[in-house]
Amino acid sequence: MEPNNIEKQIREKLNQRTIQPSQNAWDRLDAMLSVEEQKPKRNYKWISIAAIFVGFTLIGIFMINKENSVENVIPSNSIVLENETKLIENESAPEIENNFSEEAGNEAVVHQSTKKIEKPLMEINPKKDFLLDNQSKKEEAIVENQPKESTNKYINAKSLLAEIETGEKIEVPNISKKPSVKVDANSLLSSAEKEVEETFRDKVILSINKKYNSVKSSLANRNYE
Amino acid sequence: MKIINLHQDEKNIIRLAVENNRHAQQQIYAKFSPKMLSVCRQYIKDLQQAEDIMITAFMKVFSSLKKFEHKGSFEGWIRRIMINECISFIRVQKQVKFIEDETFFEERHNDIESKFSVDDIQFLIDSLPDGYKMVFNLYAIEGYKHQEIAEMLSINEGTSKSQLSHARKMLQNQIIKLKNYENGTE
Repeated sequence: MEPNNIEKQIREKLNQRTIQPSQNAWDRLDAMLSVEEQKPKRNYKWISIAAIFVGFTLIGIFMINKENSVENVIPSNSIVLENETKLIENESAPEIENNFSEEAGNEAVVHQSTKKIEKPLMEINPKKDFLLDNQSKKEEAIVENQPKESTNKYINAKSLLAEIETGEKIEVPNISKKPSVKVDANSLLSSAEKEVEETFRDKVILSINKKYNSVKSSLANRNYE
Repeated sequence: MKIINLHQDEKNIIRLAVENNRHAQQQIYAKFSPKMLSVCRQYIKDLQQAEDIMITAFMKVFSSLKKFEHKGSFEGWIRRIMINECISFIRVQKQVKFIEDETFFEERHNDIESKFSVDDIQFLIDSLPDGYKMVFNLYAIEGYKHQEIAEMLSINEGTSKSQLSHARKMLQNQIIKLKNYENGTE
């Protein structure tokens, strides 16, 4: 397999040979080199730094969210608070009613706010939706509710008049239900104390949760309809 | 002193070419392109195609110039890039497949004393199939060993040997034909 004389001759002659490229060959190469230079060289170093930064911020956000989820006591508080506000509003409504109706009727209304007696609720619920939407609307709705509730009581009163004994029976459980309202007030106070201790940021989160829950509860009420 | 200066000049030109100095790149191109086009022409029959491949190979030379470590000859380094480009072109564009034929025979030394012109030599090489041509060029002209050729072409060492023996046989037949043609016997 040794290269023979003819192969030596071939090698020597071919190694000595030169072929002049065409005139435009360099121009083509020059153009190709220019295009290569113009290509934006991506600085992967900066991209990697940016990616790391974004990664850490995402992890941070995730951790904060996790902490918030641990503090999920807040939503429960907010619900309590909302209930409280509703209760307060409902309690204020009975006060107005007091001017028109009897003490027994007032107690019945308080009972409605807490225990939600079936019949009045069915009538009030559609208007409670308005109550939850805006405070101004709530007030209006309450004002609207008053005559209806009073009429209900008149009807009830008529029936009660027919059966005095049953009326007495209603009054007795109403009195017994008063403490339950008081229990809620205590929880209100404790939760209010907690709220005072909370930081500004927590309050912001609370307000968001409140709004969310209000929407949720309004939706739930619609479903009842 | 002159050789040292030349070496220093080449180093400086390479350094400038690495920094995308177009004048330095043009100097390198002007110095080596005629020889490199000849190398490409050994493998590719069509001169225009050979020039295209040479230009592509020069692009690779300039893009990987910073990797050149000044250990071997600069010309040898460029030549290697040219050969690799030609081989990849033949293998990809022409889809040359080597038959795993490991039968080769010890051919007799045919000491033909006649002189051939370089054009005749190129004609003889062009007559070879691409597979034979690549192995013959790499072994007989570039001086690579069968093991190296096998690695470059992703074939067995035996296949490289058999391809060379077939190429040699075919060349001898072609030479005899050429001689007969020149002598007017055919």
